Amino acid sequence: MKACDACRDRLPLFLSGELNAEEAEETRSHLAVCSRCGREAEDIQRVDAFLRGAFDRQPVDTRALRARVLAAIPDEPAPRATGDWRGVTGAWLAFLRRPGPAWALGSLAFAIAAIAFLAWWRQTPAVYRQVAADHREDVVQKVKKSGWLRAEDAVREFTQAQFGDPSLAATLAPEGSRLSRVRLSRLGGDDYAHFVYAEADGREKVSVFVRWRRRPDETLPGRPAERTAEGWPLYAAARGETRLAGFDSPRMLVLVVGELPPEEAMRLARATAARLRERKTS
Amino acid sequence: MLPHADALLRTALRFTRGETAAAEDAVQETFLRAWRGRAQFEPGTNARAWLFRILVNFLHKRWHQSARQPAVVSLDEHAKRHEIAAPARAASSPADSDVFAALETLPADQRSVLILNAVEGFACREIAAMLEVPIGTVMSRLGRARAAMRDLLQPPVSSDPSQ
Repeated sequence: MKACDACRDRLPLFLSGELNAEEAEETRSHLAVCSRCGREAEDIQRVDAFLRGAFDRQPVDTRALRARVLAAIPDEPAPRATGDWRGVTGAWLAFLRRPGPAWALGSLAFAIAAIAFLAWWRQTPAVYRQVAADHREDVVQKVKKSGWLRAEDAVREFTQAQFGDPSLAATLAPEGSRLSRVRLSRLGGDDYAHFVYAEADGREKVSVFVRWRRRPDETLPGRPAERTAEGWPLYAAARGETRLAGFDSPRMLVLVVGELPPEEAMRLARATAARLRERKTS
Repeated sequence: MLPHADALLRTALRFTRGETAAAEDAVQETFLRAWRGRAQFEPGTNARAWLFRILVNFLHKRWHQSARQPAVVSLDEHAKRHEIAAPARAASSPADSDVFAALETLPADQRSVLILNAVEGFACREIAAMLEVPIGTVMSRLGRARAAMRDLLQPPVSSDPSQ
């Protein structure tokens, strides 16, 4: 009971990553054994996920608002002369620059990072961004989410229900890896089955995202880099260390994601396509 | 040039009962106050936290009694609707409008803490500093807010989350 009280008190701090290593470990091991506290943690995460989803999907248009604010600012009395500023942009720049060169350098570095990010953002289709982000949250950052299935029976039931194939998880497994967990991830309005695979030492490394093609002519976005031996279009994308390689099989869209050398991601995708093909024909 | 405007506006909308014009006014006021108070901004601290602090303080003063009547989401109806509308989904998710309706029944101080933590990702410690309240207060508001949301959003018959 006492452990439950302590756990409940700490839960919000645990979930926002504010506990020290020792407290976090205590909380984690209590959650693993206590179903009541575990359920409570899941409830919290579910409520938070509903909220995040609703906020993400809420359409807002701030163009008029931005224009109004920028128009209003020059009329505001400047509290202190910050030197020679020209127009609204100059005013905001002066604001960002204060006080002194260190801050200016910081802003510059930030601007460069922002431009690089924007360039990547524009070039990379949304699906790849979302898939890379989901993979990083789950496999690299280990963000806690609910809905993961780990038990073999549950996984078989899940792939049977979703794809009509009870052994799909094994078919998709990269060589030398075994399934660690799977859940449905909603990305850009589509449900993807997100399979996480672990190496022999138990470390999770590669994600495979799969969903049905809604129409026969639906493909992954972008221009295919090459074709697999089966003649299926093969796509490549990257975000930092994270590489994505995906292909359109006749019925499914498949993406292999991991912190991998570029050629390795493509090799894994080709091998996955080959196994999928073999499975279909056998 | 105006960072975080979208996120600020989404938050403001949850205090103005979804009224866009009022929410835009709150965000505009936030940027103008930030501009006027820029001498107080400590470089190196988090500009996003600073903007949200101004916005939330403004919303609390202006919209403090804006909680909706808690009858908006009917549990029976919610459960029924999702049984019919989404039989294929493993775990039924409430409609976004239900999530917002539930959120808007919370007292303003619980609502803002929940948005800042769950949606905007601020740590409890940061929120305590932003609102100038003890961290224990932040955590108890969060706890009450989440419990209320859970009761409003989940069908009364506890569905098995392990599917």
